[in-house]
Amino acid sequence: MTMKKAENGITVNLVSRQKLEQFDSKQKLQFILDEVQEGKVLVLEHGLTPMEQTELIKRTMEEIQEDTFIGIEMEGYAEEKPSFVQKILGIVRKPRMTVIGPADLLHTVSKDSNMIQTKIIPGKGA
Amino acid sequence: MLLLFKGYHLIDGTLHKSGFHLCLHADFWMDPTDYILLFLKKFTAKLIKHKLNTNIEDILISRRKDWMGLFGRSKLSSMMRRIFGKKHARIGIYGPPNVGKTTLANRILQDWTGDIMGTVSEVPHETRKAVCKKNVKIENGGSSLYMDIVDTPGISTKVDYKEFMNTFGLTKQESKQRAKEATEGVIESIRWLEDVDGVLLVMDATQDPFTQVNVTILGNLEARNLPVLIAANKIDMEDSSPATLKSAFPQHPVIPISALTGYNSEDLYSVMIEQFGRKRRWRRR
Repeated sequence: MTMKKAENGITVNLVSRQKLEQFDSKQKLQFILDEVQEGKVLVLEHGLTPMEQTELIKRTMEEIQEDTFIGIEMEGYAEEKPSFVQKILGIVRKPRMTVIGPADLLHTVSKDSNMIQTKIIPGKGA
Repeated sequence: MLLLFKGYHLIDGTLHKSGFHLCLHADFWMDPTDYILLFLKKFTAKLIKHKLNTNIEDILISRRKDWMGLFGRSKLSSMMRRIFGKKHARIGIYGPPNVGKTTLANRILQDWTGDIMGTVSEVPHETRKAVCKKNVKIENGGSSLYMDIVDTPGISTKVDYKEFMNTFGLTKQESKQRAKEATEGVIESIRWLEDVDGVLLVMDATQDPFTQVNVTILGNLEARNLPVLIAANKIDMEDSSPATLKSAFPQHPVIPISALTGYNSEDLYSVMIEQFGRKRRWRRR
């Protein structure tokens, strides 16, 4: 799959929790990789678990094409730590918002506990 | 889960008479699963109170007093580690590219075996294949630990061959080859996570610690319940800030070091033995 050059701007998709919950982990990662390889920037309402993030990095490395896809830029917030009671009851908190895009299009400017600031470089993407 | 209490043992919620007089208590173990033990302890206490009409706390306190009187708490925990701790561990050196993983691996090997792990370079992704050195004995005082040390390729979310050309002056062919091998190296690093007992996570103390790679690796290790020690490297640099790293990851031990000069390596070895010598009771893969 090759990344298309943007002619009419860059697509930024805000993906809802409900949409993400339709997928299992494998499907979710495939969905993200397909979208990012098309040059889209995704903002996920619920991010990826650390295991999913690691798998996404691995899958990304397998997909890298030297002139068309150099990898991803990904920033997000980890899940909040569950309280003692939640641990006992087995309540799992899901990771929070995450932004993912093609590495040659999306650049992280700064990140702190309240805000992720990114910059989109025009000229590429879908 | 089997708990033994004063002549009785509990299997699957049922008490059975037994010849054992042994008591295990959650405090003897330093582990993230303590809350599970605490829950089990409370549950068991209620069950024993109901079945035997005896307070579990009385049993625990009397047993603990016996042990503490004989050995003292620190000696007791040291003894427990000698009994239940590990003698050998496979440790992966992880981190993003160019944080000094191989420099640190070389430092460890030079200090304990006189060997070196691999070449270092300012060009990212110099290490593109994992290298393992077996049976490296690290000592500190009366403690020691044999380690298989795995120096892994740097983990990143992108590899652009043009960066090697434009920033570091490599030829196009060299750059493309390096990029290809780098992607394979990242995959190999991730695969090695399945086969290590603990991780020495190297971070650059001059850089922002909240990179996605750092956060992802740490989250992954926590999910696997792997012991992790953060080496805040490059503290010989003027703009380094190991305190920032410590405050960023307060849940993990952070040791400021200079792998290049060897500064503070004694502290690192001491904490490595402590951190990686522990026996873990369960692990999620």
